[in-house]
Amino acid sequence: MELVIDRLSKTYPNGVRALNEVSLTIGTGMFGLLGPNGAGKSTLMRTIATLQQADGGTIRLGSIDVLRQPDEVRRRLGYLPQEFGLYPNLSAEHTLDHFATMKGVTDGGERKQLVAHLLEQTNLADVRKKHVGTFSGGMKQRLGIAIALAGRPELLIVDEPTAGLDPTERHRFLNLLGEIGQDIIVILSTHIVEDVRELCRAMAIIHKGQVVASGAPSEIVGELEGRVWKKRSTKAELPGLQAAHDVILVRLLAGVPVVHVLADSHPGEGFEPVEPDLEDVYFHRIGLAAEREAVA
Amino acid sequence: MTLFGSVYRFEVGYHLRRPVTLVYFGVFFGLAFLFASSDVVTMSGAGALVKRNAPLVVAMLMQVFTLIGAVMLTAVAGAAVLRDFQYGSHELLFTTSITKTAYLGGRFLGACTVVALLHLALPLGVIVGSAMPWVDREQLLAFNLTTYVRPFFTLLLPSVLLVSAIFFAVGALTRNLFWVYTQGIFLLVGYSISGSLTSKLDNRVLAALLDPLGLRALEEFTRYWSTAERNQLAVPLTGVVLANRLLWLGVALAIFALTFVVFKFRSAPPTLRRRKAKAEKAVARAAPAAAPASLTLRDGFAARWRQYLSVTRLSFATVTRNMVFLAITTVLIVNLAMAGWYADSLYGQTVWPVTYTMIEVMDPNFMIFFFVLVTIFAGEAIWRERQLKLDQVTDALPIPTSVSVLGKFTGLALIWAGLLGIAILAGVVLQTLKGYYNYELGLYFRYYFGVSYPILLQITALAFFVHALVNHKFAGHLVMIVFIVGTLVLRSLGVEHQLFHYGSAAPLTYSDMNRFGPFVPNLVWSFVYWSGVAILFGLGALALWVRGTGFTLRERIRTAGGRLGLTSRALGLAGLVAALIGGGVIFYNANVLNHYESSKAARKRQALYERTYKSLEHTRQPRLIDADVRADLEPEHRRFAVAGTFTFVNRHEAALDTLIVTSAQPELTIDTLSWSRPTESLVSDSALGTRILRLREPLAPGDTIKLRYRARWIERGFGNDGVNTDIVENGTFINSQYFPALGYQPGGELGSDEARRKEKLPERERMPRLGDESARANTYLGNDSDWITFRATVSTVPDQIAIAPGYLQREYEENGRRVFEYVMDRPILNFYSFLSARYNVVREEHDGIRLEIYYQPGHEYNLDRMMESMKKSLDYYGANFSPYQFRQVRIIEFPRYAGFAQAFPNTVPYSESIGFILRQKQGDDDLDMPFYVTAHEVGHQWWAHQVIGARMQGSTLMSESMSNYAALTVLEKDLGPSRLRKFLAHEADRYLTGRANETKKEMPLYLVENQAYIHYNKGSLVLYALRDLIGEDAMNQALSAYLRDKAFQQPPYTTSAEFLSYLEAVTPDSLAYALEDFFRTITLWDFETESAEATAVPGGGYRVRVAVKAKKFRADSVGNQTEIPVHDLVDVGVFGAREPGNSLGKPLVMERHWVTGDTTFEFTVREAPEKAGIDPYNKLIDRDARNNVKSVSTVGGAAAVAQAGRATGSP
Repeated sequence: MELVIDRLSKTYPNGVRALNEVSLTIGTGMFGLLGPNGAGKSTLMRTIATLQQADGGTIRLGSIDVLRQPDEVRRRLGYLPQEFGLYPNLSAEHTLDHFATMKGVTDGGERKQLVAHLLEQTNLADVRKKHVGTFSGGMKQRLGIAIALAGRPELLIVDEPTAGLDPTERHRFLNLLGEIGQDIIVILSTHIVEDVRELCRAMAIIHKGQVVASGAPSEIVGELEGRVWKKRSTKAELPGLQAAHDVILVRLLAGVPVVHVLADSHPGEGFEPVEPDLEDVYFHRIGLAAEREAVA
Repeated sequence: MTLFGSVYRFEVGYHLRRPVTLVYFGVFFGLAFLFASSDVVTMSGAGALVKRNAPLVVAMLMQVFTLIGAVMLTAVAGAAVLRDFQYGSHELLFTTSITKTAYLGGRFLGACTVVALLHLALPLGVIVGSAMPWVDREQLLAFNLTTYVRPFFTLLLPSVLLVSAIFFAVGALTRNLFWVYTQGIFLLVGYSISGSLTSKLDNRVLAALLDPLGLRALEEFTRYWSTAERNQLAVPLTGVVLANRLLWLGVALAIFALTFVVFKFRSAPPTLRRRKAKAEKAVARAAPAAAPASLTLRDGFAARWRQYLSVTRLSFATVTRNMVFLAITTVLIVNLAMAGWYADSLYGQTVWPVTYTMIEVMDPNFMIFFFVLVTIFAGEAIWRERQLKLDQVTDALPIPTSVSVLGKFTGLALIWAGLLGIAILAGVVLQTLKGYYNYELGLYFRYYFGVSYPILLQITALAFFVHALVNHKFAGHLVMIVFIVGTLVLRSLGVEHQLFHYGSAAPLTYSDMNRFGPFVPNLVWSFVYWSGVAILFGLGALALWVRGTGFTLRERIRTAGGRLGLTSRALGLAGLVAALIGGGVIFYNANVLNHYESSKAARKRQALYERTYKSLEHTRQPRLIDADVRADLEPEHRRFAVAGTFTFVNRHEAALDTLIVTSAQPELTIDTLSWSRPTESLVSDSALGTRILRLREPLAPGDTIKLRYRARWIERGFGNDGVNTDIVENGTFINSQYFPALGYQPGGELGSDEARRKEKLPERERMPRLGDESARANTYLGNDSDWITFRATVSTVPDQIAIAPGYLQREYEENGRRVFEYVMDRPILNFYSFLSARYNVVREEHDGIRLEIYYQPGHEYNLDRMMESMKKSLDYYGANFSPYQFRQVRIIEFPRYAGFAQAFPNTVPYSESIGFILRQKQGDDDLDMPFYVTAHEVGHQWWAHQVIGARMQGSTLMSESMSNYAALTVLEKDLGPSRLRKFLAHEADRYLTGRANETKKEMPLYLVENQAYIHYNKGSLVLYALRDLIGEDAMNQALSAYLRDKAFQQPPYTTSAEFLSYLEAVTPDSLAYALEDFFRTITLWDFETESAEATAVPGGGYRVRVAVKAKKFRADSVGNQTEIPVHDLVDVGVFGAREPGNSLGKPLVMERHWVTGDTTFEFTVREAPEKAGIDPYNKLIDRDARNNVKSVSTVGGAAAVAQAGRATGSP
């Protein structure tokens, strides 16, 4: 099964161009969708999740036309939106039971087993009788993923799932995703580069509604191989450096600014080569897109 | 202080910037505007003669709205502190340098200011509304600023302060959204509970004091204000009003002080008992669950069904677990139970808590409350997922939208059913508590689930549609509120056809005799029609349902069709068909089978009648002398035929050639109307019920002419405003309006001044003036007859008994009908009726007079008392007035479509609601209404059916007042004077409140123009007082002489002036003033006991000094008073220890003295005096009756002189 997005466009009534001819091909396994806030990630995901119409372009899931056959998609879909709430007065078990029924698991025995398994899998079995209103952010997020998984989806879309989670919760959550994401398509949108690096087989970077890079993380990183240099700098020096070089990013390390610049050859005194990582690529690509826009 | 100032400014500014504040302001302004400029919003206290912007009316408006506002404004004051906790800003705030004083004080005063500013909308609304050009200037006073300023500061601001303080305290101390949202409703409930206290006469002052908003204090203080006073006097700030305001201002301050002390600057709310953090209960852990081996995703019908059930269950659970919902329903149930608890009191009487009285607690007002609940929670249910931000998850689920919409709807439907179930339970529990065990569960179910429930579902469907269409929660709620308000005012806006009243039930009065009776067809078709429309609304909601994001209304409308599957379309078709058929049937019934007439059209028709035929008013007509009538009743088909032969004679000195035949029922089908002499038709105006004929040969004086008449009434289906309840399956009661009358009928003219102004008709006197000799030609019962001979034949279904005036001659079966023949053996007034029902009968004979009560099986409660009353009445009237002219008295129960009893010759139709289910408790000192009403109606056999006044002012004195007098005399002899005093206290209250609501002008009793509060209530009071003054013997002497001279007289008929002359003849000159005061003028007294002091007398006993003030006033027709000198014979009394049956205590002295102004009396009594005063039993009409008696204070010291003191003012 493959999800093929072809020249998908969407402009909101207020003139915001959320998607601009986005084309992507997504296979099974974890797919990371990286981009700053407002890049169009959520619009893209909602459109795939049948919650929104596009102005142009197509999405196909295997042989299903996503925009025309929403019911077919919904049957195969697990969707966890960026921000969501749950019925506060319902127990985790009741909630999950309800959603499993909604997904079509209407056989009582099967559903019972499924709910128990999902609670186990998301480590919520102990609190299954508790009202969801009392849950912490991480617990709620895990219950959310359990809901998304309830119908054994072939396509799982999770939008910014780790925002607001503490490191332990985040790890636990990503491990869970990693487990699931072996055989199905999982689209994970995030603005945290690390999430993608740790988990995804493939990825895309979106900025202002456009795909600015896509491929396997290693491929994307590969294009910067040998071209990234870093230098420990000072605050006073920074403006000069930014004027003279193609600065990808400035990072503070124990209070000292460390500058990454892109250069095909050694950029000069104090710079040393550095192994590029996804973050460099991300900022580089975003920066490029911004420049293009400034020129245009 | 600056800190305080900034908190204050922040609070005020915060609210002023919120749009909802503007909405509240708008609502207040709008309602006040509508009140002042239209009839859409009305208020008690503003009678027809009281101006819309009179000071008292404006003040009451403000107070009523504080109560309404309390519910709305909970959020302003209640949330003032809570808001910080809600948004989590409290931790930020409490760590700043802000002080508790500045914080609480600023927030509180800020909230108060905002609330006060909002209430400014009320005076503004009235000022602007009354300035509108279309407002009738007659209904307004000139603008006066103090009218608005004074009550705003003296009455409204303390209330605002109090309500704000309560809400603020609750918000700050509980920090619980539940309480904040519901406290307003709790306040309302508390208010209505304290209101039930007021209904008991003795508690009125207490209730006035306890009213936190002071409305009842103002009502109590101005209860007996006359029209003139209501229009002129400024709102009082004395007496009980002042006491009330001070009391509650104090309470407000105390509450705020308490809040200040208890409120802690810390994060957790102060709790008395901290809820123990529940130890994390480890749920027993089963062995790690394996993933199910196989997982089948289903989407067949069975799966959809399970999904629907799951949504239903969820919808039910989420609403019922919502705290606000629980709170509001708790309030609802408590309110219902409260109302149910008082459901068995009816006009100060106790009735048996029969099931329909419990059910009718859920009256239209209650339904409105229910509507609000339904619309709010329907809206909440629709918005729940979006509110929780769960919509994206649920919208992406693989289920059809219809499953989730239908599931939500069903969940709500189950909740409403549960609430009605609780209402039934509450009713049954209350009945049990009151010792009534005939529960009639079937009736509960049919009423609640057959009538009320469909309406709740229909409104829920509408709410679904509105919210789907508008797709904005607040706007959706607003539209629904507009709808609910619309249902209230639509009728007064002139939209009267029931096809436009969505969610309203057809009119319905349940009767034990006739069950749901004739109302069923309309109920059924309304149900079909509105259910059809509701289905369409539901499908509309489904089609427009918002699923996913970013769809505009236009897109949703464009794709709406595609969302409806085959089933939905089929359902839609069914709904459409139901709506069309139901609507069609209703239209056919209301407009085709029956004549649809709006109230405006009816008014125009009446005006047209007057314009067209008034000129014929004095055209001389022959008089009816004999009526031989027949009524063939078919209750099972709701139709009847009437027929008769009427003999008329020309009593005039000239020959007559014109006959005017008037039929009061334009819908009657007249088959035969033939005269025994040749006539030709001049006018045949069936629309106005008037036919004019010319006699070919004039009818010579003394000659007779016969009219043969035959007409049919077929009740076809139902009309827009209900059905004719005269002919019903069980409990038919029809009167002579189905028979023709001769001559122009002034009774058909428009009566109300306002309607006449609208129709540009001249002002009309209610009655011809006393002294208008021409008016003495007729009695006030009709203008075509004097005393007639009468016989009647009535046929009905075999299992019913049919009754008409007269004595039963023969009863037989004919063509499967049961036929009764009645003959009256002496002349009676032209005033008869026919009744038929499945009756049980009790019969007794008393001194040769047959007494019979025809009643509905099950209504045996008061038969004994009625029988007793008939006997005692006949005995007393027969011995003291004149012999009874008939050999029989029959009381006949009829359904509660009307709530009166009415006396026909030897026949008394008596509503099931006014005596048959009244409850007399053991040792109860309630009035014995079955006894009293029976005595009153038997009294009419003398006072109306022996002597009857002319159609002019004052005539009801000799019928209604005298029947009341007769009845209360018998009542007093049966129950004793103390119970009667209670009755008279009610009569005084009704008279004094009645005159305050006079719509035209108050008349002295002897000029009464059929004004109930005068001829009944004042009549009782003054005739009793007169008897008390001149003695029972003198009274009876006058009455029997009057009857002897005037009974069964021919025209000219007697007048109140004649009646008074008989009373005058037995009244000593020294008391003649009383006749003047009681009958010829409107006179009020004001007695007050200023001091009552007792001194112990050596050797035992006490000397009591009682200082009294006495004033007397004459009032004009609107209540302007002029003081006149007092020289009256009045009771003065001293009372001792409490005594059963005498609320004042054992009378130690009860003497009658001449009183002129301020007088001091001295008495010596043996026993310890407790109370003393002037006119202690309130025999004279006094607006402040309570200060007549004072507790006796004992003066220390032994300066007592043992002289037996006599009253210094005695003659």
